[in-house]
Amino acid sequence: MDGSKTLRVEEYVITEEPYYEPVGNEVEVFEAAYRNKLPVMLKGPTGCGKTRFMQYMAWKLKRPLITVSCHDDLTSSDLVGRYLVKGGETVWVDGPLTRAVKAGAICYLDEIVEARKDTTVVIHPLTDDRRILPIEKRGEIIKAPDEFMLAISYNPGYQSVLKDLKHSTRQRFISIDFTYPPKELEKKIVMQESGVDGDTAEALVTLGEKIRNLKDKGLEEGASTRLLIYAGMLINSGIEPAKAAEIAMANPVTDDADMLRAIRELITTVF
Amino acid sequence: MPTFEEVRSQLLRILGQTSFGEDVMDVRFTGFHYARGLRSIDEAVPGLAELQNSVLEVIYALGEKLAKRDKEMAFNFFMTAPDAVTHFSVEDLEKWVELGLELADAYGVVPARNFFKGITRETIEKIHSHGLEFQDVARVLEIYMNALSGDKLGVQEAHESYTDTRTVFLPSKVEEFESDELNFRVYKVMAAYRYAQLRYRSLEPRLGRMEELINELQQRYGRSVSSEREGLENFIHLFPEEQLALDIFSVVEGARIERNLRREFRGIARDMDMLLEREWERRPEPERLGEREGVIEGLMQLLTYGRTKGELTGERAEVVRRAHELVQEMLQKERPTVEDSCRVTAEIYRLVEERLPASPYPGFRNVPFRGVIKPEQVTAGLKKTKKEMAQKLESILEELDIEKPPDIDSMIQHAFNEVPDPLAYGAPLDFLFRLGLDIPDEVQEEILREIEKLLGELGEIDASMLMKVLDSAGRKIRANIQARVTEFQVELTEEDMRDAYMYDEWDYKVGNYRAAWCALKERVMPKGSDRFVEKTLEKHSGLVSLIRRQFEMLRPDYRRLFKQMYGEEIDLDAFVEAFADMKAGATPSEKLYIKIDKKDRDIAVAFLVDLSGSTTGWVIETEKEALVLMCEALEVLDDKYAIFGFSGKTRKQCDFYIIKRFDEPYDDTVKQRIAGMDAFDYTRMGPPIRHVTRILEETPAKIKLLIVLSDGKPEDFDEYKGDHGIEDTKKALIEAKRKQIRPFCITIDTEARDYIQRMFGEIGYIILDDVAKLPRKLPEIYRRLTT
Repeated sequence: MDGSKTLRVEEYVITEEPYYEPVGNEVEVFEAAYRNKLPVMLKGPTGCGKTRFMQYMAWKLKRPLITVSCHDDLTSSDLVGRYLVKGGETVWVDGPLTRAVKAGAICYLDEIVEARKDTTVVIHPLTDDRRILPIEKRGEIIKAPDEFMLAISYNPGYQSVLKDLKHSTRQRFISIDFTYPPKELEKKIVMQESGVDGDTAEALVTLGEKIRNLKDKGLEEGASTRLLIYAGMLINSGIEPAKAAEIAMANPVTDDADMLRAIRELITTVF
Repeated sequence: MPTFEEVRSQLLRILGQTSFGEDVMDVRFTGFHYARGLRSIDEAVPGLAELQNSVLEVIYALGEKLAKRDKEMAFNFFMTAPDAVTHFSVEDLEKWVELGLELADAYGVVPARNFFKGITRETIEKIHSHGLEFQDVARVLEIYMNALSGDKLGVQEAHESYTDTRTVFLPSKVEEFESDELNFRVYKVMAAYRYAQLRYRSLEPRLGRMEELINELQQRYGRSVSSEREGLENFIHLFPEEQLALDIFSVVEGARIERNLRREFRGIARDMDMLLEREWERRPEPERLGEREGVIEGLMQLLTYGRTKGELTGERAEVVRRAHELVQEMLQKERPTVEDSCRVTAEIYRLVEERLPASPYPGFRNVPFRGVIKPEQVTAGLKKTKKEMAQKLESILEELDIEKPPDIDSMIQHAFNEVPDPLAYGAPLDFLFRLGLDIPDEVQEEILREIEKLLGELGEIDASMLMKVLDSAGRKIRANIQARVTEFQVELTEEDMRDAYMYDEWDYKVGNYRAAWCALKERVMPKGSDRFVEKTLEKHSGLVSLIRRQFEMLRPDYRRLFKQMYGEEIDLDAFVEAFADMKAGATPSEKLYIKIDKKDRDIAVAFLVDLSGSTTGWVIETEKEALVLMCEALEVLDDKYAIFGFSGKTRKQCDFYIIKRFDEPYDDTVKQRIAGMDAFDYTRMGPPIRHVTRILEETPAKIKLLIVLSDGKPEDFDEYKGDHGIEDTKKALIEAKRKQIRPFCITIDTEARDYIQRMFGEIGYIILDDVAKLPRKLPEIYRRLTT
């Protein structure tokens, strides 16, 4: 262990280029959005590279990246900040969103639908041309510097009606669609990220492609690039390929016995 | 009865040693357990000595067979044999041994040794089963094929394995092995092989790419090609001895695609090897066959195994050698094609014909998993696909008011020939347009858009370009369609409108509503049998309790709501925050309590069931069963729910059936109404959706859900079909969404993808490939939608 280091979130600047393979023109689009101070929504299935893309863009634009993973107990104070009592004194502590605004960072709200609906409203004034963050408690308004940017991620694959993004929120963002990368590129990514050789990566990608053919035919979502990489990592650590694929790519995607059987057969077809 | 000594000496003769140890390591580390680690053959003697001599003879013979493979396996067999004969007959003993040997072939001797250590229930089942039936694995095979081909190919049973390019046919039963697991592998290799035939275009040679050869063959044999036949059938037809040509072709082409298949799927390569190895024993010696079939068998063996069974002599050897050379040369090419195989086929055919005496040709039987090629079926399949494609194309052209090009068939043919991957989604049709029809560019773009829509691949084309195209193409379309609207005028009479709810209908061509266009009347569903619900619950008793349990988990727990104005407990976090705010001089919040609340789940759901004529029979019966299970599940929760049905015949008669209103309890009346549900007329979807929207609007709930169960497109007897029906339904759904109602569609129309997405959006639907799954799926979907 080389020891951990504590950084303030707004000081966390990514200095080493994260590995990211652009699939289309998403990098240019994001840069254009950044220049025009437009908030961005990343839409796409789980495990296709949204979070990695954010890290890459933060590095490319040389801005700190503050990521908030949203959950259903996230309140607006959690985002904006609150007063704390410290030895009889009260201190105001900024929340991550406020800190991001002040530092001119990129604030990334991951899986925004998970947050309580009233919470998402606090980001609204930041997303239009006002670009302000009102802090009610202090009676302040923070005007975002040009460098500040807001991004959210959203997986439209969830079919639960309880978890849909409100239109008033959704329409404030420009949206970049993410899908799984095309075959050759995905192979390259799997090789790079998991360290397996070309043949194994190709087999994993072929398998992924075949499993994705089953989406809407009984599978809610196909095997993600992330799962392909996980399978590759297991293989690289000496787990037998067919077993690794089963653990990483079959079991996580379904519980239907016939479906599982068919996917296992696909695995033994490819490996 | 034999004596101990007799048995012992037999065992010693067969096994050649007196004791067996399973784990030497173990023995060494735990010294005093030495004796336990090793087992003496004496232990096997007493049991065997109890048996009849005739039975013992069989057991010795089988043991000998096993001992040749592995002595320890044989020893375990002897140990267990006395127990085995109490479970099954002497004949089945042989099957038992066969199973063990298969296990050893497939997984090595260790699992096989364990297999003989005892008789498990699984073993008994396996022994008593006879082969694997297609029906038992049909669903797995279908999913497997779906995944491989990207939803292009279905599977069906037949008595041979072949494909007509649309469906993969597999034998109704595989009894190659004793174990079903290995039998399944035979199915799997067959399925993958059929996939490879299509993927690598084995069945669709393009005559245009071998014109010279075709001319030559036509001249030599005086036979000709016909447009009645597709490429492969035409090619084979050019030879006087069609069966001979087809057999040569299948061997040559097999070598080509198997190489590709092996490269693409390592696992299949392994399974093929296993099957081929087993097959070797059964192959005849080419020298013992007739001249012609001997040559084909010899070539096949050489290509598959790299050797032949027995020596080949004379002319026969020479022909096989030369044929093998020709195939090898072809395989040397970077990317050999099916046309190359055709050329080689013709050359080998000629060799056989010239060098070997003409004799009646009885045919050749290839390795089973390679299946058979049926050129006439391929022709039928391709013709059907092309016809569908032409119809689709024509309907698009008609819609756009473009004259049908005279050579539409040859254009489609061309697209079929040029498309790079025959299994790519919608490939030929899509490709046809990318190649360019002889029509104005902007219209072509417009068609492309239609295509994209048809194929459900929205979003690839730039929207601004589309707008322009639509403008120019749109004027024509509108004029064309407006003329058609008046064709189906159905007049509404006073009678029709009495007691009816009047609903507007969206006319997408005009871009406006037709005011008060449809007359909808509520009817209470007539009661049916009072036994239906009971019977359904009996039929699905296991499922019912499972679903109930799952729904119980959905029941909202007592939930602590933080930061409330009133409540049972003080919210410490809120209190501290308020305290800090106060100290800092900010206005503290008054919401300082935790309220314990149960009413978090406030859902009203309306089920709207399509009762159109097409649901007659078991579709409606299954829908009814699904509704019963759904009601059972919903009774566990506090969710409000209602069930309605709809059907109609033109705008004057939109029937809306009430099965259960929101305020009605799930009682005998409702149960009998479910039983009474029946199929009626057509599917005019707009009005009932608007009506449910009205009902839901009056129902207080935080979340309002509309679940439509359907089996097809919106379609009525009048002009309510095609785009008009879809667009009106879509509009009705948008109206519902505006009123905070979330629509969701469950359809069993597997062709639904292209239109359903237009109506319900990307995530607002699910397609079930099999109605039978509905009773299981409906509650599951509901559960997923509301968690």
